[in-house]
Amino acid sequence: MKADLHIRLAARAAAQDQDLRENLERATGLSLKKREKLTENIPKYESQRKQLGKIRRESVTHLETLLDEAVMRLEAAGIRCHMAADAEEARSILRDLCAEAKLVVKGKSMVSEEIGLNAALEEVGIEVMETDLGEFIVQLRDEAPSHITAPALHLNRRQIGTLFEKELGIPYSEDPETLTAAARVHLREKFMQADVGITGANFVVAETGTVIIVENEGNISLSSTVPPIHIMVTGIEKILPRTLDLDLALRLLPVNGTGQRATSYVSMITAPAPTGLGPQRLHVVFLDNGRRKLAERPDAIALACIRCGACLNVCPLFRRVGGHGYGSVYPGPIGILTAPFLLNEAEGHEPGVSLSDACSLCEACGEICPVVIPLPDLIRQARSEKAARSSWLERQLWRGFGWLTTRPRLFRLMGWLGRKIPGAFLRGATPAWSQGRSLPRQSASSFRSLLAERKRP
Amino acid sequence: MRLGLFIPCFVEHFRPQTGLATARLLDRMGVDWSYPEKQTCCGQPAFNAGHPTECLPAARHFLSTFRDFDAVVAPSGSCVAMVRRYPTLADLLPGEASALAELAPRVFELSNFLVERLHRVNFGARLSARAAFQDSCHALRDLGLRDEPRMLLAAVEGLDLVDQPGLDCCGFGGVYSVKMPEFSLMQADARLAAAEDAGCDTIIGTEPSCLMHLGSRAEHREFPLRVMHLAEVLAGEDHEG
Repeated sequence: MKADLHIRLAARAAAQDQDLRENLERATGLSLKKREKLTENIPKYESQRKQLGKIRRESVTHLETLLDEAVMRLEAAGIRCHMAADAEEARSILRDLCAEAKLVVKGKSMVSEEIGLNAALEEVGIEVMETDLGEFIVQLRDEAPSHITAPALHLNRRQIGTLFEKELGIPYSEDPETLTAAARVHLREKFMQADVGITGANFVVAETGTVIIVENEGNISLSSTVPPIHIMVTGIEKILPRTLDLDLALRLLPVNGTGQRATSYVSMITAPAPTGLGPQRLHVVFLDNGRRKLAERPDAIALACIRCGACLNVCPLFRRVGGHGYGSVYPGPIGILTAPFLLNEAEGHEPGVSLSDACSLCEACGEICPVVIPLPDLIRQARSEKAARSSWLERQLWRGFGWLTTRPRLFRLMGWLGRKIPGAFLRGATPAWSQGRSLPRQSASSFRSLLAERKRP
Repeated sequence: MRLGLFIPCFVEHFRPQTGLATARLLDRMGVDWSYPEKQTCCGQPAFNAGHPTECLPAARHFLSTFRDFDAVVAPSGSCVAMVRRYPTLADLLPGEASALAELAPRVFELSNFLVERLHRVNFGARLSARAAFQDSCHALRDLGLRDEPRMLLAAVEGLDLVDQPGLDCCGFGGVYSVKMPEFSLMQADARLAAAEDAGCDTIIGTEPSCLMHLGSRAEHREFPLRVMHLAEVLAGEDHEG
């Protein structure tokens, strides 16, 4: 399949790209280390995690009721809500809302990546400026983010130094502070000139109609307060029932996302500011784009994801190719599950459960997920959907395997053949194994016969 | 207590010494064990490849083979994890739900059985080697066996043990190793490198499939590393034996 081949080719390229491998390993490893240090010292972390999982499960189960409640309260407070059934409708809503804009500043938003927002706005002559440092970097490189919370984790400071030297015209430097300062100077001007600020949302609290956005750089605070219009784009599943739920959500998200006890800033947006103090027009665009379809399925629980990215950091495959290898906006274990529903063929993505083979079922993702999504089980389920559509021959082979397990003599005979067939032939018959590995040594006798030969004490 | 010995099908034919070592340990403990001849496979290959219904005959066969034993032991966390999962297949196997639920918790991975049921960690084993202990995903995450193998290895005389927790999966993963060979090999290499960087000449583990994968990769690359199953270490069985 297309996606399978894509990620395998990416792995081959990564094997030759030492920078990429080192950058990915360093960034994901650091995140995990910082995370572990925190979770070890949080009393009852496991029970917190289970509790947040319960809350998110509740949110997904009662999605429509909670969404209605949130929309009602947001509208009552003067925030306009828009419902987008798919990416195309979302783009058209956003284009309309930005109709009079020349410059849009953006905070980090994966949903905007999902709908291809930047290109849609640029097409109609609007300049779009990413203001999150990582997003700014990948925008300068004309790339998609490589990770859902750390867009530029595939790059090191040398690569960023060279990029800034070329694109921003500053003297080469690999000092993070110098580079950040250069980006800040460049962006500060844009904030002042922008007509619209677009951000994502981390949570929407139904009880009060509050949009929550977390960040570390202050760019969200600027995007949401300086321009006269602020638009938030979010998936319908980001809903939380109660304000109190934020207690756990705002604690576990940064711990698992970036290995921080808390993020530097948390914006809670409830209404347009009084005249003169901030944007007068606020909008929330709620995106379905396959989420309702997913909500009806047995693996609906994948919608509980709070987009922390921990499952990416811990995944042996992600750690080796990064997000670009998946050929999809949502990489890693959670991306394997959700991308087939959130992204469609028109967007250049293969529909269905195509990447479920890109997993060794090591289960590290299921262990780390802060909302206890059983990712390995769901990936296995996705695999069985794919298997149901596999070739007749493949299905018959597995049926034959099942049948053999109930025929001890025949099963033993197969093992005997495995031991007796000349190694050269066996190697030739299993190229995918043998190109990088020796055959396991074929034992002269089976365990059973060795056991019979040996005397018990 | 009557104990059934379950030997993974690839150990049966490709690494019988792991099975023999397990048998020796059970003998040494005076356990009344037997090896039912009709045993085949736990069915995990089909289950993980997305063909759970083709795993049902294996589950049924396993049940009929081992249901009369008080306990079952296997030198593989992965196969045991599969058997422990049988009760989740109960929907597909109506009529056998209660038997599966009863059997599953009586099936033990070897290190778990030695420590938890036989309450013994010192088997008087000796091994002069500098060896890396590397976890296996299913023993660690499905069965939660972090301390058991470490306790057993700590008691081995002459063993210079380097504990290597937190490594990525070795890249075997059954069909994964041939469907995603690029990743699989990179993952195996990372584990070999971890052992080599620590100056080890041996990798010890509890899962024969991971060890088979690592051993095959090491041999292909002519890497001077041997792999040993925990049972072989404890029983004093040499790799070449």
